Order: sequence, then C-alpha cells, then structure tokens
Amino acid sequence: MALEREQETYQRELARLLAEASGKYVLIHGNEVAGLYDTYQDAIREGYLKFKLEPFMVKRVAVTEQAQYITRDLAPCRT
Amino acid sequence: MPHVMLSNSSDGPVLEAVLWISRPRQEAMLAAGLVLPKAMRFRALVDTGASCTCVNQEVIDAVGLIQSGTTQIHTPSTGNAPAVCGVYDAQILVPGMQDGAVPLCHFESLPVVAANLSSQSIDGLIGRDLLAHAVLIYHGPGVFFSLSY
Repeated sequence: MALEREQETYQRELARLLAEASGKYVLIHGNEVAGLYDTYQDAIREGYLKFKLEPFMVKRVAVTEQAQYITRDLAPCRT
Repeated sequence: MPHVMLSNSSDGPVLEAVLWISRPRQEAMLAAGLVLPKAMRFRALVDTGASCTCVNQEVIDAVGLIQSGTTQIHTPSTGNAPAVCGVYDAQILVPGMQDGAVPLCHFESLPVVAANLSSQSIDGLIGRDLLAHAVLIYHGPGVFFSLSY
C-alpha cells in the first residue's frame, strides 16, 4: 500500500488531531504531522512547498472517515 | 455563465475532460528541472449518483498522478464493508464551447479517486464534488444535457 507510513502516523496521532482540529485537513510526511489546513488545496500546496516531490499524505481529520458513495459498480483498484 | 450543451450518448451524459497533474505539483516539478508529463483527455460520465469524481487507474497512471491518500467507497457490490481506493492529486479542465478554446471549468488541485470502469466504455465519472459548482440540466425528450459553471 502506498503512503503506509503516513497512514500509521495518522492513526497514531488521531486522538490528538481530533481534539485539536476535527474537520481540518492534516498534512503528513512520513512520521511527521506537518500542518493543519482549512482546505484540501491549502494542504496540497503547502505539501509541495515543504516536501517538493517527496511523498506526503493529505487527509480530512474525522472520527469516522467520510465514505464516498457511487451507485454504479466499480472494480477495486490498488491502494 | 460559461456552459456546454451536448447530446446524450447511449452511455448517458458524457463529455470529454482533461486530466493533468495538479498545479502545485507542476510548479514543484518545474522547480526541480523536470519535464512535465502530458495531459490526457478522458471520457467522463456526468453522474449525480457519484459523490466523488473518479478516473480509471490506467488513465491516472498514464498521466503520472501521485497518490495523496485513500478513501472508502460504497458501491452496489461492496455490501457493508466499503472498498478502499487510492486518492490522487489532480487538475481537471472541462473544455467549453467555441472548439474548447474557453474552458467551462478548471480545477487546479482536487482529489480524484482511482476506479476501474474500463468495462463500462467510460474513463471516469464527474461526481457531485464537481457538480456542486455547476448547474446541470438533463433534457430527456431533447436528447441533450447542458452544464454551466
């Protein structure tokens, strides 16, 4: 899975993130929480400014992840 | 208000959109002295039943989009356990009228979900995340639809 380390960091930091910034977008690079932003676009822009072309993850901070709904069937893709 | 008016195809309200790496990634690549990958046109169904915009994994790979996260997806076949799909940072442009010279809409950085729609004769779905900014008219008897931004 891509961004595995970032996913682990998100899970490890989730309780603190929920207390501080529920609903915001978190920028994670490796083991580091690099910032919290109001929009996805702000987090992405800052990610490229800080980490250039290195991998990073942007995710909305939420108790339960907001699932997406598609009424047409899709075959699963790699993650 | 910029708009397009297109005939409904046998697949429904389908348009050609352009997929590219996001503007922030373009700037980072240019700063690193790299050559930008080419943008790619893809055939997208305007789908009010999709909460997010999806693009075939093959198209995403061809354009060279980079994964920025994951998301959970419910479809008719996922049951109670949603599928986990990759989310990619992208730029999407929908060409407008006048031979596409003026874009209908242009999103410089947005999350798109990787899907596999290759058996459905389309490359992607324009979901409600993009339609949230638009006025969509589906005219059944006239066999056309229009999209305004």
